[in-house]
Amino acid sequence: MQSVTRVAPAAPPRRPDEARPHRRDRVLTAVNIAIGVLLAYLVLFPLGMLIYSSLKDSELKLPFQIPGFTIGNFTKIFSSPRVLEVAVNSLVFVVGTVALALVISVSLAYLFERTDIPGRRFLAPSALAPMAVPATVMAVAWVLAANPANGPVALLVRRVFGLSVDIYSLPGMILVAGIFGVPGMYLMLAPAFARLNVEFEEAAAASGAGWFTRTRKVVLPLTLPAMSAAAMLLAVIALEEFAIPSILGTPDQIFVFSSLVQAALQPPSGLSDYGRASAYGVLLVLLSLVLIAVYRRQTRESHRFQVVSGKGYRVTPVRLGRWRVPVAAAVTLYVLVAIVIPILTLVWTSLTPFLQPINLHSLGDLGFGNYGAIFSNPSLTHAVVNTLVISLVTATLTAGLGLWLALASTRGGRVGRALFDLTFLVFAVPSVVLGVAVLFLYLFLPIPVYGTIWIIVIALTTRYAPRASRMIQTALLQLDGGLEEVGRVSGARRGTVLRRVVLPLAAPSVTRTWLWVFANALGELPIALLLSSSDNRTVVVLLWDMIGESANYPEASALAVLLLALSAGSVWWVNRRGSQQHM
Amino acid sequence: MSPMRHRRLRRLTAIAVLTALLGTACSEPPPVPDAKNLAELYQAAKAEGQVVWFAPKPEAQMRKAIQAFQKKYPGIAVKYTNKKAPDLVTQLNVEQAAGRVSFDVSNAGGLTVLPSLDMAAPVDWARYQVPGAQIFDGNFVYVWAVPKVWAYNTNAVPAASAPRSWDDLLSPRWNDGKLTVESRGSFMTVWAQDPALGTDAGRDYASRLAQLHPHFTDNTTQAHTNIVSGQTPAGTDLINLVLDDRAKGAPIAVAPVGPTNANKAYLFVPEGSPHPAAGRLLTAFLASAEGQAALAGSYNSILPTRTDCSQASRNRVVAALCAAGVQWFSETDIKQYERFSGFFPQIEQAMGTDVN
Repeated sequence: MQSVTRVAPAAPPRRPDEARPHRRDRVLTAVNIAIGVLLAYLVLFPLGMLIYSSLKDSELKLPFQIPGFTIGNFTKIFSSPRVLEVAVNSLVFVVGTVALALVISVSLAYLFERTDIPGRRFLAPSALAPMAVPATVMAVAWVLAANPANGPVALLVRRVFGLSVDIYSLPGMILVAGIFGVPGMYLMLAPAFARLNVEFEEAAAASGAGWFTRTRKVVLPLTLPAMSAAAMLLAVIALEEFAIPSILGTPDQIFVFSSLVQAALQPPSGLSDYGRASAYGVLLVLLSLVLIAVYRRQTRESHRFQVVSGKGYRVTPVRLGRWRVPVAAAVTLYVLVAIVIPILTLVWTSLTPFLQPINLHSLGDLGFGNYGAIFSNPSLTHAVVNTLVISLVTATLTAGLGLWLALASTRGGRVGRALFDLTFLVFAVPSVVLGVAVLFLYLFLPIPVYGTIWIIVIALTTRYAPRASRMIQTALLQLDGGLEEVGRVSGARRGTVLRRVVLPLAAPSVTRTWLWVFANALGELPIALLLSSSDNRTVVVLLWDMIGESANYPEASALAVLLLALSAGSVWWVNRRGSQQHM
Repeated sequence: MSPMRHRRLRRLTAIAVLTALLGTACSEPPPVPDAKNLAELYQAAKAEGQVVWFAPKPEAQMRKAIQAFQKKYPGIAVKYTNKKAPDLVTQLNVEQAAGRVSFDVSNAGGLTVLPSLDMAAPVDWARYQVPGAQIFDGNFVYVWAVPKVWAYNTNAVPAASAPRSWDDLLSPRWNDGKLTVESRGSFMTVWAQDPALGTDAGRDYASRLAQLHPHFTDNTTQAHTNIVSGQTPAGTDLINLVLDDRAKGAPIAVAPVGPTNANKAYLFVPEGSPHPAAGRLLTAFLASAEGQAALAGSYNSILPTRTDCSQASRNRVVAALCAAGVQWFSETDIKQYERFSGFFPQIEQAMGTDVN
């Protein structure tokens, strides 16, 4: 690993204005310290609040209202009669979801970024389009499309293959969560595949290795950090995912970890058991520590993953030959079943006066009344503005902090790595539990952000910064330190090397990270819901009101279609920018 | 300006901004109004300028009532937010502990009544012309009731085959997911109200119902969507959702399964609310005949505490219940709510839907 303190062997002759670069270095150091302190503040305060609350027996009161400390919350968790059942269900759900999403994402990333697959410009954005739509909406769309009673997909499969599809099952939950996880995972993997130097594969081919061997021994190992980071991210998302297990698991009483968290935080009486919910959060912090250890072990020898060097770097696409058409057909089928059908179901529902399955007899009932209704909702404009400001600020702030953290971890020595690991501690904390910690913090601190959009920005930045930093770090790990060395030997200072060498190479990854955060912030429900007040409501909170409170799925679908359009537009724009950056 | 003066000015500005922010954050709630009648209350409310109302209903359902309020009491802006009753308790609990209550009118019903008791500000509602029958436990005002019903999809179940009684629902023809049932068991409330049913029999009934392997949902609104979309032929529902969709032409109807619970919803002004006079004025208005007339348009209004079909011609909810032959019970005293809080966990256990 390169060190920023490395000194160029031949220093250029001193110039009269050399005092200025020194001052710049000092400013840079001060900025670094300020960002480091900010990150530590963002992470350590909620973390401290979480640990404090987990040690309070606050079943009916708030943690601050309880004297003394106890480990009773942890005892209750482990003595719960459902603990084993929930652990097994959660394990199967998480492993299944990650495995499915990983297989699909790696395949798509490889095909779109490394091969000459036809229709890439259309298929790639299509696969990512529903990224900003909340899991609740996608789960509802899947229920409408594939429920065993009148879901068109289930009916089609039964008629054609004679098989019965039960979406209300653990495999059904895995299928929906896996497909839902693909866009985020693809975004993390795509830059890693895009950067692979074709010479590595050519060398392997020259040695007689076939496509399978080359992929297994060259391509996959070189993209291992990206895959590990993506798998870890999705494992955590699956573990905390509430909407999909709630909608698809509850009918058959399939409870997972998030069911427990939700039951503690949102009981019918409204008196949340913050102590127990925080204890769940602390357990996930411990899981984060394990993930940190695994990830560090995998990325320890960073030079093994450096594929972008100054020597003969080429990204020529792999030719699929006679497989071009069959592979494109398979990807098209995936996009059709996994993306287009649920979206069409949403569009259909948005046009119906009341919730009804897709059928030709109802065509006459369709209209745009639901779109008219949502546009006449006086809260919508305010919610749209709130959502855009929150998403844009969070994405920009998080991508910036993520880039800084990634640089700190790869080029900032021990302190940088420690900060990088520190932020990881909140990586696995469920968003709703993190939201509670942030809520407590800003209700009791004399900082007037409670009830404003800024408390949501703070919570989301805290939540996404560790994820963003991993996404960018995987790209930085692929950069050969020699590129920066050349810059320094040529007399360029730290800032210049960063600006002229590192940032342009990291730009595609930063852009995609920005998009990932933007899309996720658009669709983030638990935090927005928990921290919502009358002035800071977002579009997804309105959406949740329509689904959860008034059961108005047609209007909710109309709003979801608009969110989808915004999401698809962002994906298209970033994809276009990404293509330009790759050129 | 010299650089030193410029720096000092910037420092002073920063201190002033910080002080202002801290001042805002730590500001005291306004004093409790001492208006002796509605006219004085209106003046005090007008001086406050706005009222923040949180309730578990879509804004569209409350729009007419808000417009009627603003017509009668101009000069007071109404900020309405749709939030579930349990989420309201959660939020209010935390805000009161921090001394930063952000809304003026809150809602309680079912299991959220008991925890809300200590959160309500003491108000002499009789001063503001709230009818005595609508004042509950001193500080709550009864504004609407939501009867829980069993509903069926008329495309899937002909009217003649619709379930006709609680016992009928245990028939094997509803086996294997033919019934959608809310997993928290609030549809069983009436078993803790009607002496002819009883909680012991209720537990037994719930476990027999669970043996049919119903399609469980997290809440009643999800159950409604399953029925209206034809995924499940019948299940637990709320009458306002059924009537609302039926008015749009949906194939859904109330099944003649009774008795049932007509869950009362109360409004109250939280202790420490930012606009206490406006909160009181809006609550009093919604309880009045004018407020009730505006609310009834969206199937939200008060009902007789026990079955009484004499209002069927004036109230569409009563008309629907009476047409289906469903008897109902509403809550009458605090003791009933205390009984519910022990009964629901037992029902969840009997059905196997208890999570923690």
